[in-house]
Amino acid sequence: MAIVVNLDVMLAKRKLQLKELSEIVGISVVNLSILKKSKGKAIRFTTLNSICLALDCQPGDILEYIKDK
Amino acid sequence: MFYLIYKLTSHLTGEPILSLLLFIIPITFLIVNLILRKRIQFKSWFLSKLNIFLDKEESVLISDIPPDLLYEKVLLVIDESKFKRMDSTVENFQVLATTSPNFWTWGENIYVAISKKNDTMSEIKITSVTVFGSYSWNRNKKNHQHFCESFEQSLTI
Repeated sequence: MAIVVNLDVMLAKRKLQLKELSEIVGISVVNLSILKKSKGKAIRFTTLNSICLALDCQPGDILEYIKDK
Repeated sequence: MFYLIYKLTSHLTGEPILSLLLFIIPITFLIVNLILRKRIQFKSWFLSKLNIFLDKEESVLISDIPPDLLYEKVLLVIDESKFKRMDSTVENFQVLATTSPNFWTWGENIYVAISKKNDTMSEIKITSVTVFGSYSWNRNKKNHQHFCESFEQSLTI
């Protein structure tokens, strides 16, 4: 997939666990795990907004575009 | 109404015991099914090919989510859909959900089994089966459709 979710990188930088983020943003651990593994089909702006707010980062810190070879 | 049908068949066949059996057998079958439907252990009873009195429909969904995560996701999808979660086993990733009975139907059982297809893909086998009746009047297909739509929607996080 061309779009990679770097949620685990940001979580490590902020020294946060997935469960803690789940409690802050109000999204289930299962859904965050799927997002972290880049297995989701789409991401809502509201989800992106709450994750950026919780991790104090920009959408570009979480999402990355990698060109397919 | 049942009494009238009983009287009619009794009159037509001239065998009151035979007419009575015609009612007792299906009613017993229905009661047994209603008792057994709530436990996943009786899956083989409902899905058996020999059980010709129940209509079954099987379909397969392929996903790139690992089976353990997919199992949790399916539980979440079922809890947020019109289905009612009845039973589940984490050991072999199986879930049993039901639809509510109403005026038209006694409800259906939906068996979901998750397994690993290959290194990257997982398989979700969805089987919808009637609790009573050898024809589902398209309800099995609608259940499958509803599950697939709920699953697809849930992937928008």
